[in-house]
Amino acid sequence: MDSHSVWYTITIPALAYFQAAAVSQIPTNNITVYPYIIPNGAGVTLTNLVPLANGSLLASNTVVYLAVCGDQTEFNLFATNTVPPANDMVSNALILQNSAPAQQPIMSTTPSPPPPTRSMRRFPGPTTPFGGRWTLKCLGH
Amino acid sequence: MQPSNTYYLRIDASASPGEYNFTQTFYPLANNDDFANATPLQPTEIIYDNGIRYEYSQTGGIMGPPRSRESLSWTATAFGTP
Repeated sequence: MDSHSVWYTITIPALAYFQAAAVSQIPTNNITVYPYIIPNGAGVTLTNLVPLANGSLLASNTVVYLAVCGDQTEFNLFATNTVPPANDMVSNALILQNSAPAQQPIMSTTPSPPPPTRSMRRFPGPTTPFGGRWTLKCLGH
Repeated sequence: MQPSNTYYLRIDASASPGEYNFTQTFYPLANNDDFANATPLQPTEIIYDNGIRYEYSQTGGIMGPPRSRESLSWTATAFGTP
């Protein structure tokens, strides 16, 4: 271990990919984040730490230990747990359907259709009455 | 070193007459300086249309050699007697 280090722990909330990084607020002072885990059944001691690669897929409730090491400085530490996206695999491709209704006559008495769901917001353009585009807020991995 | 304690320093300079500089630096230890005192981080849940990401963000500091404004230093100039 580096002689100057501070420690953090993260308990993984769900099956997820793990990433961590830290940025020194003093550009000339270098710091590094070292993620570790302790194997099941092993005691929670410094000697039982096993290095963990960024991007590892971790099970729920896994405890990750982060050592921020380096020169004396102030830093910003960031970490993410990304749950595998629902459409991570080609077999689970997200199907985008143009389920929004065709443009209604101006004086139509037909009840208005329900609004698109949050995940399928539709923004029809003024010159494309039967077209449209979808905006999805998605994560990738 | 513990706060509020008095520490005595002996300078052996009987064989080296003349002026000398003495510098001592103090810097505080972070609460999470030891593995056993690791600080738990709490996630912020970000919802996407195709999944969830948990984000963690923390500002911290590493204490070390006497280069930061958190350090307290004092310097004395004195002389020894032969």
